[in-house]
Amino acid sequence: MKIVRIIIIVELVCITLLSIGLVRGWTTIGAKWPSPPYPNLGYSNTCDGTEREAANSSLNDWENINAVNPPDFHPYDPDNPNEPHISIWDPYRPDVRWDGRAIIWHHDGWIFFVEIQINEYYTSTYEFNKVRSVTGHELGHALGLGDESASKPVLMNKYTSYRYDEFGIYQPTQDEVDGINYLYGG
Amino acid sequence: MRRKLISNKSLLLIASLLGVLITLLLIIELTLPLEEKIKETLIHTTAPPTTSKGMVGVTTVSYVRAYTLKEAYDTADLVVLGRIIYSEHYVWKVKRPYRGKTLTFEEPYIYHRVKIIKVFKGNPISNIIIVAQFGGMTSRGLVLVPEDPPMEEEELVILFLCGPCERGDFVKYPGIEYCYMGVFGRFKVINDRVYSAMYFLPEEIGGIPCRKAAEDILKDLEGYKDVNGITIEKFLKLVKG
Repeated sequence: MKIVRIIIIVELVCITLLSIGLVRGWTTIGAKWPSPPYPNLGYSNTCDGTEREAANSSLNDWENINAVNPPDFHPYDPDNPNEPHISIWDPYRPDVRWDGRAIIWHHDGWIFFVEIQINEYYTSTYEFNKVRSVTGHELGHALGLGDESASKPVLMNKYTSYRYDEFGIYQPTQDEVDGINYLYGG
Repeated sequence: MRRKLISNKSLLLIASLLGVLITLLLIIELTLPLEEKIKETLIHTTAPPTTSKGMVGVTTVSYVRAYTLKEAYDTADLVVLGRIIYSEHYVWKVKRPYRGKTLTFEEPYIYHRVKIIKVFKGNPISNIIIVAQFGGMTSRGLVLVPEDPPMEEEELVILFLCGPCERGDFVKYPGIEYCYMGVFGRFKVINDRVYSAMYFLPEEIGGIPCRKAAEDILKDLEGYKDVNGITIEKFLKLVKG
């Protein structure tokens, strides 16, 4: 009967692995950067103070993910206005319920411009890594990743109150790395 | 003498059942289309944009927090039933210095005039109020928040409002302009029945799924699922808990 016990253990491992495969979290927005320019993406960061530092840290976080083909950011050249790029800035907006947003301009499934806003009305009251969780989340959208539900401890969790306050996430997780590998890995 | 907790027969049965379960999981894994597993949530790449400018900028947001229906009601300063009588489209142009040049950003807004029919909470500053909604047409194309596409003139709505807003980079009418809580505080009234955004939004605009975007946000939050063609009285009972 020892053999039956071993079979049961092997079966339980298989079920766990298969279940993880079925419930993987990452989603995409249905558009991605063409290659080129990916992985060489231009960015402009015109935020001030903490938001500026947080955005720079998040750019760095995304560049250093353990993916097959991670993004490689460089400052956008304003003399070349047609260069596809990501713009990040930080208005003061008490009129909305979000602390960050990305407008993704795409055509035929290809992203050509992303404008990220970090809402200073909220982020001015956040600690540094909480701002970083917002900038990192928006950069995830800028790369083509979609939102995740409140219950998931991942950077693409849609709510800062869960993503950071509950789960303490401010950098890309393996889930986001898997998403980037799907989009740009091969 | 040690007694066996599980008999050999039971072990064989468990092993067989687990084997069946693995087979089922394998079948699901192999037959589920890749697109379904990946869940491309926002953009139908097959549908062409239908706006006059030809482009749609999809807006994805990081919400500060989630609101149940009751929490949204409790947070609001003003809750009204009203009709949108006029929608003013406006694009803010913001310039930011960058490496010796200037970057220009366009921020589209719609400032709706809402004629109040009934007040459920708070005191409005007049019987026609201004409600600001982010989104609209820019020189690049339509900027759309999938779960909160533009409200339209003649729409009969129940809105959870905050304000009036005194200041903010995009506050056009300081002191008289209300902001609302987006997908958490926007309801449509059709034939005296109330619907939450997960039921009344159009399936898609310009190839962007709207109703599903609202459903993805609201379905797990208490209260919104029940706002599917209920009377205003029942709605009020629901929001007041």
